[in-house]
Amino acid sequence: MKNYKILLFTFLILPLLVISQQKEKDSIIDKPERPAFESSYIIDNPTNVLLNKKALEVQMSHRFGLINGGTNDLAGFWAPSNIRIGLAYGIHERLTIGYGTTKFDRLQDFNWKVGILKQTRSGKIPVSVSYYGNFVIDARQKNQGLFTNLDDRFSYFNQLIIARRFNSKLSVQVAPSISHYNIVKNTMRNDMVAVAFGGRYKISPQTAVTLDYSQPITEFLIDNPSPGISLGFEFSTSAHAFQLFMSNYQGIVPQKNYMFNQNDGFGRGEWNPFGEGGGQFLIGFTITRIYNF
Amino acid sequence: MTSCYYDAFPEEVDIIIDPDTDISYQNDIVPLWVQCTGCHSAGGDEPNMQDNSYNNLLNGFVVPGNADASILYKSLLGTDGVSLMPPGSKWPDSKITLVETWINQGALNN
Repeated sequence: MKNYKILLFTFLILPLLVISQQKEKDSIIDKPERPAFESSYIIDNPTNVLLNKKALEVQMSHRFGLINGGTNDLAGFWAPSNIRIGLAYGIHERLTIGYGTTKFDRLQDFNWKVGILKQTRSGKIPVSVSYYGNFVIDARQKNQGLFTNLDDRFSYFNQLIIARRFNSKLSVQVAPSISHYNIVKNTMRNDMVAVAFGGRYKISPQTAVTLDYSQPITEFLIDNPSPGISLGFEFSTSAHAFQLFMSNYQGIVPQKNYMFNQNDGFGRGEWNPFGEGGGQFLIGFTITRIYNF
Repeated sequence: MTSCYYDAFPEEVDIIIDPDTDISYQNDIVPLWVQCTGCHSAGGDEPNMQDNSYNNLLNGFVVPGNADASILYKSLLGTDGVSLMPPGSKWPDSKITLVETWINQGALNN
């Protein structure tokens, strides 16, 4: 009889043991996945990556002139180039805010990124989702007579970044966005809907090939903006990322590219790289450095 | 202050400048250079458009009487392999036509 009691007790608690074991197993596996990308920008578009709490990132971006854009300018190195210096700070694990200033059009951007979903190692949440937004002021001088009202200088950008880290080498992201300018030419639209596709493939522990493609969807009456095509290398350490790339986007603030880019990456007519009919590309680089406090 | 709205710049009308109307370099053209002098000044990018801009432009950037052959005009359009000026933001047609007419009238220092 005693043996029966022990047996019955064992059977009764067996499911609980199994459940508790499973729980323990889950809690080990279901950690958040490592970040899909190394820094805040893939090339032209922001990544889903958020900074740690109290981390400060310094961002320096540079776009030279077009490779085939002029004569005697060393493939655009001596041509007018666009520069952005920016800072981003992690207020919370899921909220990063930033500010940057850009040379062309004197754009002052205030930006924020919010982590909505984090991919887990178990695959229970298969993707990371972040929201990126900004508010930009065109700070060109008043005496140029470009704007009547202060608010005419404002533009906005909202983007949802859906990223997945497939393994230690391959990460991809899809990022639909809406750009808004308060005032535009009457042949344009104030809003631009677009989608971007980006990816990173590591070819060594510290070196990766990166690709960023941005497709504007909204159509203007004339002068539709050309899609952005960017291909580059990223060299990263724990706190640095150095990106060297070719792109047909010379703007650095996203909405400037999505709305106004006229550099045609696909080229026109008979294709000949960088020559007559070839794509209009330029060389650029971005350096980021993260300080953890 | 940070309101979002939908507005458009006034429609660009076709700019017809009477060929007999003399364009004055000092009165009509020089005021346009205010947007250029941030970079095109002494020690900056060539040509220097802040000091002695007329002579500097005539030194290879303007072919008097022929806007289409002038680097200055090509740069305002961003054509013929010349980088668009101002970078990233093309001028309205009214300003470009003014420069074109001035060059085609002989690019006088008047």
